[in-house]
Amino acid sequence: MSSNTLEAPVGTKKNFLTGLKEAIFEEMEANSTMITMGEDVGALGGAFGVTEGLMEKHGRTRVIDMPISEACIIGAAVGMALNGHTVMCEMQFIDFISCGFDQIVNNMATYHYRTAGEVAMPIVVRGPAGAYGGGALYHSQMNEAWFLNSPGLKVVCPSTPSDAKGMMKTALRDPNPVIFYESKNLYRLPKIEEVIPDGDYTVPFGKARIAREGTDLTVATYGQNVYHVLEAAELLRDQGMSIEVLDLRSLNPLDMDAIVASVAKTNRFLVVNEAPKTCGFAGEVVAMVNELAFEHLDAPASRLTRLDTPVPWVNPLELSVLPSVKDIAELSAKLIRY
Amino acid sequence: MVGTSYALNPTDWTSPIHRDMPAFFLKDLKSGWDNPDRIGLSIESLCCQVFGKSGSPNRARDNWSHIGSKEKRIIHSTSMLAGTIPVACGVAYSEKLAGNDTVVVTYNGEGSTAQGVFHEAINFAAVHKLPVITIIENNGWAYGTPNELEYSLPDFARRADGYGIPGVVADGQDVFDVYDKMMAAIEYGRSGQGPSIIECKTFRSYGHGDHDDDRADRYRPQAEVEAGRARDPIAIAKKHLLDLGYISQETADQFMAEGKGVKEARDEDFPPDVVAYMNRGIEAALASPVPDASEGPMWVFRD
Repeated sequence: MSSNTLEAPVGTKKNFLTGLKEAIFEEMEANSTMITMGEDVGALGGAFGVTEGLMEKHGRTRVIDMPISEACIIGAAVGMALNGHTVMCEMQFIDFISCGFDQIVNNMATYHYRTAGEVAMPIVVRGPAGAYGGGALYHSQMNEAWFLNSPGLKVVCPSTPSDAKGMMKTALRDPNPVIFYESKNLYRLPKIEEVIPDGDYTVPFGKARIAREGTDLTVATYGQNVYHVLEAAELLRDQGMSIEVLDLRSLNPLDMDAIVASVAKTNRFLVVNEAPKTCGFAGEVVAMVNELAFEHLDAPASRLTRLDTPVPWVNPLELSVLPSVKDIAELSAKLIRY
Repeated sequence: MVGTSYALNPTDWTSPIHRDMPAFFLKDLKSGWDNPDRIGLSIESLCCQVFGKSGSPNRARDNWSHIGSKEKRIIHSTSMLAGTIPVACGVAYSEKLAGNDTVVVTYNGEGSTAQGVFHEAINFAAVHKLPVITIIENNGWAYGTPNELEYSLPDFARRADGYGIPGVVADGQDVFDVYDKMMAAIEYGRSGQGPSIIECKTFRSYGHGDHDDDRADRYRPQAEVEAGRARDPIAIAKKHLLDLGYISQETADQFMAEGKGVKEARDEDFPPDVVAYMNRGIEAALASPVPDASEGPMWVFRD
């Protein structure tokens, strides 16, 4: 039985979006300083419905329908946080976050540092992200590398309904700014629905999840790519290869302990993501594995990413630039046979 | 800065930029220079900041001109022009949500008004009738670019028209004109009517910075410099006060810096108590240690 309303009976399966909603609704209830703001987050409930019903519950002063002004959304959130609020900012699509880039990297990210710890910035900037859906150049991006290269920001990207809820709660209680990537293809994906733990629980940042145990190769990934990798692992199992899949969940802080422990077991490492390759997060993880686990490696620590192109619109153009299940399986097999 | 700061209540917020060093210190000056509870930065803390010492509010992390204090209700400045106006709007929104009649004042050069975020923020403030007063200090130049290449109208106060909010021009060299217009803007904001803009027409005594003095002499007409120097704010204020009988000639004679830029003025041009006060700040800064290198990596995140 599956249900995606907040009032569903205990023990029913829920989707990713419901996980997010539960966290946001519960935190808005528990934290009277919390403000939700973004484009169309009030009366409409957000373009994807993540905040549907929130304005009716908490009023239009705490759930603010903002003008189409991402820089002002982030900047105003900084001012609210300075004056004691927790703020959640929705980017209608994470692609649009670039319009608020300066406010994020120069203002929000640096505030605690440049005030020598005087001012905390409990702000979550979240939004739908990712390709594999025909969204084209401006509704498909994974631009996490920009923010991972900006000190002062935590960056996370859950892949399961339970993690969506638990990590959103952690984000909304964190005194630091968090950029929260949501693979929008997962929002209502039936096959990943699961029972979300009851009541108040959090999933800590900086802890990877072993999504599948294996012995021949470690594949680290996050967001919707977790399911691509799991599918590839299933294919390879039929060919006698055992893949360990690490769902990183949190990119900064990054659980290098879990990565190194897994590489020590499998002696091979691959990281998969859907962001462009050059100077991307995948390259960073590979560098870290080389620094910390070189002695365990029997094959080059490798990465499989999007090509260094924008995301084109129409299939097969779009899929031609993204890592596919087949690509993952082929590269994995090659590394295992290396 | 004196005219705008003096009109504020202690609990009001300000958002000076790095060109507004005095504004950090002038806040709540009415409660007394030496009042330890004053809601403005002390002269000691300001001087520690300028000297890059650990006694500064940010422990010399960001550069000398970037300060702020949550406790003193001064929004921390950055180098991103107009970048703190949306922050001021967020503070104003939160004050309004709490039912306070606090106003928030932002200081900007006229060059900042060409930034997109200036317009995003003023628009947001206008929509929510936030008590945000935007001061535009128009000194005629955005570094080396003159007014006519920054904006198509002569008065930057007209930026307000597109947002349906009041925009007035003040004589930035006349502290009383600025004060009067500021009082009106504060009344407007406090009573819930919304944001406003005050353009203070002023003058840049030198170049954009020390490095620019010689070049400024080439790109800026000499006649403009002479006209600006002839309208010294100290002289104008003295004349008003003498005409109205608020001060004696003897008091007026203690303020002799008129017509002199900050680089020409000397201690003897100011009253002795002012000089002693400034020196106290400088001595505190000289005595304050340089921060330890171990602090460099600190405070990226809060635990």
